[in-house]
Amino acid sequence: MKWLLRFFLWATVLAAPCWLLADAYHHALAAATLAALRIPAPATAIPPPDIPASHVLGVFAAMCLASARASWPRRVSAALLGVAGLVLIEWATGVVAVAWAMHDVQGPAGPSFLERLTDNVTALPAWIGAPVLWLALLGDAELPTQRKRRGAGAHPGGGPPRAEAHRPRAADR
Amino acid sequence: MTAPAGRHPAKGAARAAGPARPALAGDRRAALKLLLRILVGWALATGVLSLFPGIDRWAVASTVASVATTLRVMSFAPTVDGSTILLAGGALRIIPECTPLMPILLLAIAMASYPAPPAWKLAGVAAGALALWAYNVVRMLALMATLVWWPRSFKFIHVYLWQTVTLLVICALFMLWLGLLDRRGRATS
Repeated sequence: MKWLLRFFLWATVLAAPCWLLADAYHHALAAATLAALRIPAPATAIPPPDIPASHVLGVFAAMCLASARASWPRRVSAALLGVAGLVLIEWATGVVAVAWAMHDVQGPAGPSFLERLTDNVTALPAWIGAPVLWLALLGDAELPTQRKRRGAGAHPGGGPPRAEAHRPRAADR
Repeated sequence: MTAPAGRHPAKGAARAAGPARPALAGDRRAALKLLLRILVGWALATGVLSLFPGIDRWAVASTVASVATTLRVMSFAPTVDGSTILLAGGALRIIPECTPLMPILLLAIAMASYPAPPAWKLAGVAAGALALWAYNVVRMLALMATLVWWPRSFKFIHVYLWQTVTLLVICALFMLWLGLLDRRGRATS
């Protein structure tokens, strides 16, 4: 529960700078996307999404900084590495979405399966980008129940209980 | 409070309990396994959502109906025009992203991917879906109130409620489920 409170506080703190950076970040992403596709158009040709891409970065950074068990250097390095990864994912998503939109000729029957799939796939980073990267970078430190359950005799992974199950949890106090 | 970097509990445990390195590697493997299952779950969910666009339409229609019914229960008189809810001069258009479908999928896929008894997963998904549906109605009401009374703050509140609070609620429900699972594991061991 402490993690939730910390996440909420960090996300609230980071919401303001992310909000202020939203336009500049979108402009940079749009320019990089157009450059990758060699489209001679101004960055304003790509309209900003409803939810600013910068906000996903803030939420991810808040998840990392809120960590209850990882050390500060690990939190900060996970946040920096993850933010860099998210920037790449958002840029790649933009490239795929714009490239697809340029070839997209919608039929009279509405969007096809492939068009809907592309829409859904390009919408995914906003939903799962932050939690998935967080799990990849800090998941081993932040899944306390697995350890506690191992210590209690239940082994969700099917393996034997480990010495680490009795690790003192000073970070939670 | 958080332990300082130099006195991280894992390091203490490594000294006290011996072979901590293989245990940490095991934790990492378990986390990566969970991550892989989640990604496979999302691949399947994305395919199903793309294959059956009616799911999105149903989610939008049900969200509109839930919000309008809640407003009527609260003695308001909203007007529903397709996927738009009109109230006191404010108009809120519900799009697929405004429905609790993706948050429910996020929670359900995480629960389904986590090692737990199938009945426990089903119970968690059902209870979580109900809770997230209720949360989304509250979120919509909060957005409606913002739109009517503080229209200039709407965009910020929309972003903040969409991402931060929704993810917080999903994490809280998942952690609650993990806590109950842990308690159940202890009771049965």
